[in-house]
Amino acid sequence: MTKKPSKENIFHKESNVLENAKRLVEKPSTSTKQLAEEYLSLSKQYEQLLKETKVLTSVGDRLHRKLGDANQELQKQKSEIEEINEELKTNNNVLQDTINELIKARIGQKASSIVLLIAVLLFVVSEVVLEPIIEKNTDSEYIGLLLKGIIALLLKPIDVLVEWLLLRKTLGKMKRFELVSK
Amino acid sequence: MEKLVKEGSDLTPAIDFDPSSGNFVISGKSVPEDSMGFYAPVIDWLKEYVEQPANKTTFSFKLEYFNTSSSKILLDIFNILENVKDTLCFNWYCEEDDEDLEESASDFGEVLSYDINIVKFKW
Repeated sequence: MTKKPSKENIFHKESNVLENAKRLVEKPSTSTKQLAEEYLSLSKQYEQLLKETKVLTSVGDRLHRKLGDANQELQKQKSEIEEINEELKTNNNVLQDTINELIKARIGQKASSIVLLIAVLLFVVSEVVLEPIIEKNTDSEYIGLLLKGIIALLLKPIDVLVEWLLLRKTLGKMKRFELVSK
Repeated sequence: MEKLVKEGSDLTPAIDFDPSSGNFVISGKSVPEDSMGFYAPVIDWLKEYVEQPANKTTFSFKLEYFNTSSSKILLDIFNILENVKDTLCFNWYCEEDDEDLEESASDFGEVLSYDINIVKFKW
């Protein structure tokens, strides 16, 4: 009796041949002629099995190599992608630094313009408003000069303060933009 | 006899066997966890087909990869096709630069009595 192909056994055909041969050998009533016929049949099956084993080994090795090659290629591509990623990261950092420098420069320019405007305003205020008051209340010429000196000395801290405020405002805008982009 | 159609997956091939036209196509990858479980109905179907085959049978083999247990069963399938070898046109498709698959076709050809036509293609 032959076995139906089972899910577990891809060698059901070969197993059947072996089982049949064993059964015949163990059977007491088997004649020498029957044994000789079985032996011949078994030899032919063995020959076929050997041929198929050679083919399957060869095909298996080839496809294993193909898989190995594909794996190697994947590894190579992975390394290349990693390298490109690193390069991109570096370029991104350089770009970010450049952008930061550019922003700082533009903020510096803007701050200078604002400080210049403040300086002109303070000068006008000191000339038009404070100078007459000082002249009216005191004879000293130095107080007016001192006032102008103080205004001049204040320009640098005002410049730093304006720059800091503008920078903070720009950074806040950038953060909000990054959050929206994400 | 009805058509045998199986959709392909990441592990199993797509099968499209039409008994009336005699056009059989197997394509994709064959690395099933249970090879016999997958192919047993295919083998049964083919055994029935070769009893009353179409005037011409065209078998298009388009597998790009198959594991060892699949190759054992594929050999069984090819052996069943020996029954229609006189009217069989067996086309083995492989990519132009896929020498491994092409040589595998030659290996199978060594134990079969019919010719395997290599059809090269480019993606």
